[in-house]
Amino acid sequence: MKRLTLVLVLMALSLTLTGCWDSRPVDELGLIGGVMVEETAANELEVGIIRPTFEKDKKESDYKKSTQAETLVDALNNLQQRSSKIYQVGSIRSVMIGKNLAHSGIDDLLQELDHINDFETQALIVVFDGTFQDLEEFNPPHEAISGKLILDTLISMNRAQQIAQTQFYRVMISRSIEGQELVLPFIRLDEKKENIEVYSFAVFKGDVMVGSISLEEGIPYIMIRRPHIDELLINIPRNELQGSIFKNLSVVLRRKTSKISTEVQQNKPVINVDFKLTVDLKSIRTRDSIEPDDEILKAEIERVVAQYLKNSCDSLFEKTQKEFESDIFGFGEKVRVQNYSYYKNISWPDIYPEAQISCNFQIKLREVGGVR
Amino acid sequence: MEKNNTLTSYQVFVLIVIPGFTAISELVVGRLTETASADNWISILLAGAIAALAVLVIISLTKRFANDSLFGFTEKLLGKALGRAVNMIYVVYSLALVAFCIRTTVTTIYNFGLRETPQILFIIFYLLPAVYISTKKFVVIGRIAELALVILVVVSFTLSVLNMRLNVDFFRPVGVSGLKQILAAVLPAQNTFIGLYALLFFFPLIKNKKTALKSCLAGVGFSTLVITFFFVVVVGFFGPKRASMFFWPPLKYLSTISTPIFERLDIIVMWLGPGLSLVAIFIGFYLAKAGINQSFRIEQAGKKYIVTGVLFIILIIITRFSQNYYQIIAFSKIMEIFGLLVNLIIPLVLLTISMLFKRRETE
Repeated sequence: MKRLTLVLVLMALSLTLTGCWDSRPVDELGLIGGVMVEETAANELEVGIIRPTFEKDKKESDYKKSTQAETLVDALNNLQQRSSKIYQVGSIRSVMIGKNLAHSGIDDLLQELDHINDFETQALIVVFDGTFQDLEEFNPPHEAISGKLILDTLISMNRAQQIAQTQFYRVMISRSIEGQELVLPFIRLDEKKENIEVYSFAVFKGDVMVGSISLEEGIPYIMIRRPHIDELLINIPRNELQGSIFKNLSVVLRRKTSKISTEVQQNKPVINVDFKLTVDLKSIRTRDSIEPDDEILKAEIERVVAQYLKNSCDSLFEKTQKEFESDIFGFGEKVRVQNYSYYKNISWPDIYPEAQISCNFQIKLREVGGVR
Repeated sequence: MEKNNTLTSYQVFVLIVIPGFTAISELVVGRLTETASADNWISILLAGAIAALAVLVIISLTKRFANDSLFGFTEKLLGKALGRAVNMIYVVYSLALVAFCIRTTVTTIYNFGLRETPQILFIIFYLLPAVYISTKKFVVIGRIAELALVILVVVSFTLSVLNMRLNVDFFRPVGVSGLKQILAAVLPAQNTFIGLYALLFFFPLIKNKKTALKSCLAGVGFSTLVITFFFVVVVGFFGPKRASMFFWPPLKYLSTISTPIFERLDIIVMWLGPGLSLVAIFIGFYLAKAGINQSFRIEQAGKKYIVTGVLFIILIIITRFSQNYYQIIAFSKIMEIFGLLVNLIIPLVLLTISMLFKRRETE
């Protein structure tokens, strides 16, 4: 028993050893909360760092600090030389990629980040629809601290806006899977430049951004690629409600399962997605003088929601096939698994636009009584 | 055989299991995924089958010389000169094992944490306890291995429950990478059983020799399952292509886990890892020293100290080499082939000779 106690005490003591050579006084450290990387007209990178200041009276943060260099590491080194603090790359929690860079290709940047040993694999990666100028004009409510707000907003996406949950390691996994293209949150400042909002998804083909889809358009993508996101609110647009008994209808998607089956017909892939969804009613208004009983109402809600989602799916499938030619759903991976002999002889990005894709919905409404 | 220097069946089990689970186990997963094949779990199972065969061969051989360790019976089998030569192969392998374990562990610590601390300090930090343990009885290593197994279970449990998001599609269709690829990965997978040869030495110390075979096979089975589990968890999460880009895939995997209490789980596990590698280092150093002492019949305490000192210096020199990833990979490739030689091929040759010439201690 004494020996065991001794061993446990020694093990506990070892946790207190910080390593004399590697110790750094806190006031010498320069924490970098986030970086923005954009491509300049001269094909160089402009890198700005966001250094949170935690003093409440100090409104201005260090996020304006930027420099130009050929690579991210060079830029960080330039900034380091201009600073008395030792910059901590390991503290980076968000990387904002500028639109120009996204359009010309982000693989070099991702590779650089991947090779920085200290870089936090859980850092969020987003595309920023704005400029350094916008960041300088960023004017958060007076009690907030600007640099910190940017970080807080991005980090809180983990919890509140799970749609934007695109950590670095997920991005890298996505880039390594053939037959599954990358999608990143597209963020911007609001009109008053007081806040940051995720307003759409940036769609990539390879490492190049080829377009964007709104959050509403992206619902089928979320249902297939990110089923773990709960409480996905769907407001059915009025034009979709024409011919139904509803004036307005909102539901919350709870459980989302999708089964993707693929086959090859006449040397072309045929993909079918079967969704099984559980929804809760959020708000509803029926047209005047219509008072259906619960069963009819339930069936009608399920029908309308299914029809709306099917239209959304068909529209997004078509957009990704014809406009973007980018398989953001990962259908290629399913074709590889289910029809390997076919897959190994083709180039999936070339075939994807010609694939025949369809979807079916099985919707189950949990309760209607409480809302009416 | 001294009464207080006997190994229980459980200690035999852990002595088979632990040496493979040092920083090496992380390296094994890395080496396996290097080939970008998700079918390599089959290779691990095949490597396990080879290790089980090696256990059968080693036990069949050592049973014929039940009261003598490898360093004693090689000379009886092969004559003095050839016997010593074989012993020296095992001594060199033991030294290489120590150097390999220290190198991989120190490189991990350097890359994931302490970049400013001189690496020589870590090397000495590992070697000094090994020197001390080598003056004790072998059963001490058995007891340390028991404790190390607890760490292993904690690590495996952590891996299994915290971020279990497997994409089974990465493993399908099974066997698509082809037989050649699968067989090519069997050799790297052999590093899981890097310390199996120690059985040649400690078999005479086993208390209950009737259950020794079961304990050893259970150890091999357990190791095979755990390393397969590591492989499946890591490759199922990252995908074979992404996982193949890492040198330490399990540590990278751990860095993706966020927990409410610990922000960097990989750092904590990284500090538990060196605890595991200590056992392999102790075994390697102990056997290198015992091999020289027994082969050259060194019994005087002073001469033994000189041997220890020389080994210490040799190891410091060896571990100063191979300081980057590529060199460590090259080192691991040598260890794979060397391991197969000392774990299976030499014991098989010795067993064959013993059977052909009917040489055994009982006769």
